[in-house]
Amino acid sequence: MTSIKPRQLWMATLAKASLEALESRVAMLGELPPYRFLRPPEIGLVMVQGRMDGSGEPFCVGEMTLTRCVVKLEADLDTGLDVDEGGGAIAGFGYVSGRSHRHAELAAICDALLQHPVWYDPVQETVVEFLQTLAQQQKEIQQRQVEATKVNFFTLDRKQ
Amino acid sequence: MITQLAGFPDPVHDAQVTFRSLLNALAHPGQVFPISPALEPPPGMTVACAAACLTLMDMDTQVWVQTGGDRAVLDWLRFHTGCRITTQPQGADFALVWDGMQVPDLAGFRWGTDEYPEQSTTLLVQVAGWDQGVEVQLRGAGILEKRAIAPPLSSQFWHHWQQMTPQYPLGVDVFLLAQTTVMGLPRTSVAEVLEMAQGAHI
Repeated sequence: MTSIKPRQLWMATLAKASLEALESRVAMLGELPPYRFLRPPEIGLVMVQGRMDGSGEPFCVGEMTLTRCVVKLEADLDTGLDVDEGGGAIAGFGYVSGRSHRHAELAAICDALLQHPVWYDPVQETVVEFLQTLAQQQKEIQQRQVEATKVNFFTLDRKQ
Repeated sequence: MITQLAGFPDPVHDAQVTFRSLLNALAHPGQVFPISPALEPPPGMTVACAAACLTLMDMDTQVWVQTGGDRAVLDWLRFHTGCRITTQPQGADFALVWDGMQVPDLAGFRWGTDEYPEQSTTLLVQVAGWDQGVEVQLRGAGILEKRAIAPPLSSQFWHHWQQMTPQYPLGVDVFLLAQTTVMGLPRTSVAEVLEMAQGAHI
């Protein structure tokens, strides 16, 4: 198994990416290895919990729509690299917000390919790194926009 | 480990069709109903039993599984139903029994309470067919007069069943599951073992 951290990172990147960006980058990978659904895309609700100010008692913020999907890579006879160290076939998980079956499916396929020794590099370079840069740029744009409207309350009387 | 097998190909409709068969089976005790989705069951499990599990179990159900089953079954159950596996038959909502000839004592399972008789264990028992067992005559709700059945269950099982049915409304309900068929045995069905009765006359 790959260590938890990098997988968490790429799963988050895939889940938060826009469907259009993800679709176009996956298309650039060319023909994907055969796969089938262990769990076809399905839509459900999850309860989101939060903490006031990040440290208070947990409370339920509300429910959000979520689509999930699990794919399994079919046996790859050419490379024989279709099994992970535990001896099982590679399973990819996709959990994305919203109701897009396709998004969950693409996220799951990418997650499976990223666990595949041969496919890791092309997927990481073509899909994940591009989406990470895209997300970073959007974050910076948003930060700049927010920064421009920032108001400082100099006149507030701050009692210690 | 994550299971290698998919669940229902068409989750909504397969589950509905299976549920209807299970309802019919309990409504007409002793009659055989089909359950045959295009499903690849885990090793040691029949198609009907696998379909019943996918239909009935979810993350709120406690499932007791008889020992002797394949480990892959537990992975498969957890992945597709999210159910909890328990080692206490008394705490189980459902119990999986691999062989009709080796059903544990029914008194070990939960029979419900007088206020909540429905909070009892439902047994899913795998059987090889419908005619290799001792012949038994059923009477009770859903049966016009009486109905003779002979599923491959041990005489020990019928002995336990006869001790349980007078305790109505308490008791357990049983689904007998062959490869692609199901028979229901609700707690209202009173069983009379014919071979035993004949033996008593001699």
